[in-house]
Amino acid sequence: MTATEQGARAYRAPRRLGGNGPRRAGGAEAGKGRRAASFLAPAIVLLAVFQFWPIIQTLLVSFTDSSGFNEANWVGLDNYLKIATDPEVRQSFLTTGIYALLFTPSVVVVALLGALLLNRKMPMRGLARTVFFMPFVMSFAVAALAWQFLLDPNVGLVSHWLGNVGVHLGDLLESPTWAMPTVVFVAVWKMSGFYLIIFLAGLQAIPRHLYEAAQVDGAGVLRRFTSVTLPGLMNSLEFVMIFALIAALQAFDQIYILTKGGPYRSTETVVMTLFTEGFGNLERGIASALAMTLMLITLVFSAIQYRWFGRREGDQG
Amino acid sequence: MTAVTRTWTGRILLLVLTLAAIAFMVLPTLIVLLTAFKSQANIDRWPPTLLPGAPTLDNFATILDTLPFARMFLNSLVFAGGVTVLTLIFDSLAAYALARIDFRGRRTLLLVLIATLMVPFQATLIPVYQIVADLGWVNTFQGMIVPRAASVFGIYLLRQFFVALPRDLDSAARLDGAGEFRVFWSIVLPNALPALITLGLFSFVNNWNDLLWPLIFTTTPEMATAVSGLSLLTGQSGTAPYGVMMAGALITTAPLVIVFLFFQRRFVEGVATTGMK
Amino acid sequence: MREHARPIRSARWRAAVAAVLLLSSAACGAPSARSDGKLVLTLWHGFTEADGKMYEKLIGDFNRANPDIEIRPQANTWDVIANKLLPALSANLGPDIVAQPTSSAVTYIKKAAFVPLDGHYREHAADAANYVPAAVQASKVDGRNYGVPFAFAPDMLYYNKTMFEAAGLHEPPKTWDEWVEAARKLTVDQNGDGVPEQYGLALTSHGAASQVIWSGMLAQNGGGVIRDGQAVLSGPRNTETLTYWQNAVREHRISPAGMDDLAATDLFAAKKAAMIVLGPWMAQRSKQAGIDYGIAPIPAGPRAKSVGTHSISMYATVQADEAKLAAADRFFAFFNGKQRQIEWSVGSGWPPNRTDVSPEELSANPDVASISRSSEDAVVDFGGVVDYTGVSTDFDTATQKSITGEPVSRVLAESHRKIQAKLNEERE
Repeated sequence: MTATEQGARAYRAPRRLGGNGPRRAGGAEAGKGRRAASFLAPAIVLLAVFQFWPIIQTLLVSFTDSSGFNEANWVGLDNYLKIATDPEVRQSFLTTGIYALLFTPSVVVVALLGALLLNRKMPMRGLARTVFFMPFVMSFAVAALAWQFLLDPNVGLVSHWLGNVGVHLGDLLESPTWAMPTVVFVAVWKMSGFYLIIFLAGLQAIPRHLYEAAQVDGAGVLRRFTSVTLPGLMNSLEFVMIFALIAALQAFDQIYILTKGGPYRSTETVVMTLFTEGFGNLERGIASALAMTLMLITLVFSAIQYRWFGRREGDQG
Repeated sequence: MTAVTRTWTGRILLLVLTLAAIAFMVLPTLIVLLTAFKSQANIDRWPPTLLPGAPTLDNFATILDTLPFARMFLNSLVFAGGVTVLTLIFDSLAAYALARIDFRGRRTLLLVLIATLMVPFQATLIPVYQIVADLGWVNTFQGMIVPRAASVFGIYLLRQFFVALPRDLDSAARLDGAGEFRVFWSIVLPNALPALITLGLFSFVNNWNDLLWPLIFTTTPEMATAVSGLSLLTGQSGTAPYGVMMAGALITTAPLVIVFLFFQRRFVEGVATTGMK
Repeated sequence: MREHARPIRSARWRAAVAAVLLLSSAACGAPSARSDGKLVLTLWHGFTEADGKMYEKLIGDFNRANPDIEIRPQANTWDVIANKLLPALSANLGPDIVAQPTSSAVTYIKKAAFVPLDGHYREHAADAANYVPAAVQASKVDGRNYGVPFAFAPDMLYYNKTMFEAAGLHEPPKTWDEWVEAARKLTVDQNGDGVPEQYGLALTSHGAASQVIWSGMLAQNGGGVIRDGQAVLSGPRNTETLTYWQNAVREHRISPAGMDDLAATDLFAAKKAAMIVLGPWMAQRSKQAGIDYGIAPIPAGPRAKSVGTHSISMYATVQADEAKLAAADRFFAFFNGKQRQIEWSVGSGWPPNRTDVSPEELSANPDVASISRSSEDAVVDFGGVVDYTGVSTDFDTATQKSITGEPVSRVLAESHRKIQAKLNEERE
């Protein structure tokens, strides 16, 4: 067995033993069910009360005209129709898509490259890791203040330095063209440290002897990456991709703090709209319908990702 | 990449790029650190400077004067610490079942769990608040902690790592007659330490820094967390006294950096070499 | 096997406890309003600076004077209040009294979260007759009084005296033309790169405070945003106004284009701009920045002396029962009494809510004394709109696009259409 095959097996094997595996005798099956239930129960009970039930309520509210105070009336699909026909809401779905398209690949690539770099033996590795992790540790409110300090076109430090050499960036966060890339940039800067840690943990979990074996086989840097590192990282990568996408589709904090959706709604995401409708305009019905629509869309994209990762596993076999 | 790094110019270019990248990563952090020691007049001065001309501790004094900061710090510790400990316990138990027990319907369960993550929490905040209020838990630690004591994110993260551990690890233990919990406790958990630390860090940092959640679930300053307490320093019309805000950021971020510095060594010395026999 | 027996038991135990708690607590209502025989009222407000301290001091005075009532204030930023109010009220754990900007209060009123306070105006008619009429008017919705004046202040022109002297100017400008003229003199581009090192004016184009400022500016030329429930934004007067300021910014570079109110504040505080239009908190901010500042009324517009006004009132929520409403009335009357208003104004920097307080009585705080003189001609931004956030975004878009140089009439027409669509939807 080559190192590659073994590495691939390490992450693939359990899946094959999953739900599609050969069924064993009923008694053993029931025993497994009981054992699984005992491990699952605490988390599932908590999630049922504080996650599943609120989601069911959200679904129900999405068919009403509830404001949170009034006697709610059943309005059927009205809220969904309003969402479908309102140009501003449609725009916010598009904006969310653009954000996700810019954010997800950027953050995955930056985090992966950073993790590969920081997994090597190098001087001051601890310091370098801290540098990458610092933005994640900072709260978004503070990070936004710090960036404003640097980028403000009139009183910002970086703007001042660039101005001294004759470069005027202009007001990035107030430009309909540049606001979105700037928000994405700050978000990648802020979040890549966390995904980097996940990759780092994944890299640490790859058995070292696989690399040694690959080296013996005469594999170069690139080969070692594609045949040992990447297969070994598949679980982390799948996790990061799916969660980075979900996080991107639910983008709120970074936008609320940096641009409030502006200029001219150019950075107004679905969750921003949801928040404004629900908490600002007291339209809980519409906010809930937005949440359900977003969930459906996220589900579709995640399913595509999930299938892709599933297929990749198949290819390896 | 190898072709580039082989030449001297390539190496220098790479070094410069790396340094520039690091400078860019560090600059905002540096700004927080240095602005915390600037007076308001110094901050407002044009042209702006990186270094505080005459460092002052006034900003820190302002925070300690206006907020019950020691108490808020303790609240943060109990809240973020409580959520982290509970979530590590509950998530790892559930993740173990999903990753290593071959029970019926586990794939479906996993998909249902992931699907719940796709509903933004802003939408379910009100139902969750009503449940916490019905329990009489508003403005209590359990009200802040229990709703977050299990997280799908954590379950899925750990599941991904548990799944990757070779099965032969536990078969030996099973042959020795170890039960499921023994396998979980003494085989799977120690081998998944980097993942547990990752989840622990994530949970602690996120809850420590959370603004909206503690603000909504508490009603008195005595129960506020340090980060949410700092928002009280924002002035009329959103104008922030930058120096004070940055000083607050520095005090509230310092524990996180210490926690990180402590745990980041575990990534290096942890299970990687010893775990996979 | 022993090892995993424990999780099962704990899981069942947990499930049982959670279920019992859920069932039992559903029966309990809101916590009792009375403790130690006192009627306890919760009050939320968003004053986090000197004004907040003064407010809470006055609340303390009220509690001492009324041993049967205890008002418990909670300060949070306005943002936080907006985020917390709905969940808290829907669980009956919200405030009994809440301070809100009168424009955004309309949403809560129309959704029945706030209750009418006509009773207060009946029972304290003598006092209420002395309230600033515009502040009372701004708290009315559909002809009923919902709010009692709390903080009501016009925008003023804050100017940097040092810069004025350096430019040879001795008086703040009195008309728009004088204003732009002064701003041109105060704008300095020494190195000639087209980017001035010092601007004459920090002109905001969008943001919460900006909507108030621009509502006032439009009114100064006889225009407005909404009148009698109809959008009037695309009117010729508004086009004239915004074209005038677009020119001043683009041709004469008197201000950077497209700043929000916070960026404008920072510019003025950094001594990179000589003038700014803002609410009363700007005095404190200027002091902090070490600026030798002057306060003047906003230069008169071509057609009217109107001035944008920040308007915050106190409201009672659905949570307050009869007894609490009566107690709230007593507090409102206490707070708006003449002596307390003098104390409040001097301490907070917000002008008094009463017309019978003379500037001399406020001499302890010269800044507020100069503000209170121009409390007439107040223009509060577009009230009466349920989708306040939506309409403000449309209005922001119009002003920001105009100031940054897009064709004014097209921009106004576009926002006008969007605002009218929202108004139409609300009327359905």
